[in-house]
Amino acid sequence: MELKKILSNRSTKFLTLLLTSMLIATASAALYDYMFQTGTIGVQAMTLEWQKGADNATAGTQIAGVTASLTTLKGPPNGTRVYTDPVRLKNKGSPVTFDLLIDTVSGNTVNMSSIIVRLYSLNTTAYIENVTVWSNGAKGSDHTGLNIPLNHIWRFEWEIKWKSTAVISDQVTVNLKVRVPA
Amino acid sequence: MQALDWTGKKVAPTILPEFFVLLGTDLFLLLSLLTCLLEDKFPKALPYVFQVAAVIGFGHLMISKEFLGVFGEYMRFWYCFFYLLVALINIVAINVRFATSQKAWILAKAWAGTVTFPTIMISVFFVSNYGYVSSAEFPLLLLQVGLVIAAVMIGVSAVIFLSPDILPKLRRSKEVK
Repeated sequence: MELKKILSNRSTKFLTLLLTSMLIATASAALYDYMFQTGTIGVQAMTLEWQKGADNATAGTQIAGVTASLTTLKGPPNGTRVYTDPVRLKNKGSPVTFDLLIDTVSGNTVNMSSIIVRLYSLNTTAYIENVTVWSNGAKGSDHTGLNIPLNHIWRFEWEIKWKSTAVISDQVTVNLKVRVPA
Repeated sequence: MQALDWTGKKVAPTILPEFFVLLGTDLFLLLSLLTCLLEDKFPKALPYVFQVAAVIGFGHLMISKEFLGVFGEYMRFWYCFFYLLVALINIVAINVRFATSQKAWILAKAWAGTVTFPTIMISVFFVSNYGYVSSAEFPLLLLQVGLVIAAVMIGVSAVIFLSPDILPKLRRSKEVK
């Protein structure tokens, strides 16, 4: 009887401690997990940066951190306008491979004939890539695996063609993204 | 044009310094349960004392979470490591208590093999790993020393386990000389 009582006391005590232990361990682990998620995300050092090109005034180039905006690009109806150097991309770090994504093309696209962005190296003057942003009534395809060497600067040449039906109030907004795979 | 997507590169080590508090908390909980099972050998309140120590560890984590941006990683590491050290000291102290004041040799050996040795090894592993990832240097080549001690302990334990009469034999041979 005495042994039974002792065992019963001990098992009750053990069960109570086990339950509280599980509670404390779970709460601690959850808190650590929360801290791990919030505490480990840092900011990657920027190796690519936008720079204003020679045509920045006519193109209305504005650079704010990782975003470059070309605010006053214009083209005549039924004609072509080329901005040879509105914005540049400089690689400050080690060689970087990046993707140029055509995110969105919106606005009066029915009157837009084509938008083409051509990439040239300022260091070697070599032609790098032809990026069709808009042509034949459709968005162009993304360009991946573009490799920019250390300390190289690429200029982005913009070629804009409106259709003859375009009017002065027509506007098209293009959003391009440069993605550096982690 | 929008450039340079937010890639969120991980810059912190793969384990946070608070991991040592988590480990220490778990060790205190383990001690609480084991001292409850061996309650004849310890004061009745001891399991509860260890539970309170574990709750303190939880509080430790709460403080770290609230002041994550204020405390530097160096400070966080040291107060977390100190907590783990206290837990390990308790484990070793119980081992010593078994071996000395209670003369419970079998229990002391079992405790050393199943609790003291593994917990110390796990702690050494994680501290070394943390030091390696954070490019911090720990004195006395902690990992190497830990591994040597572990190897010696495993060796001695294996010998004693396989031939339990080796210790009396050694003692007798010393007496003869």
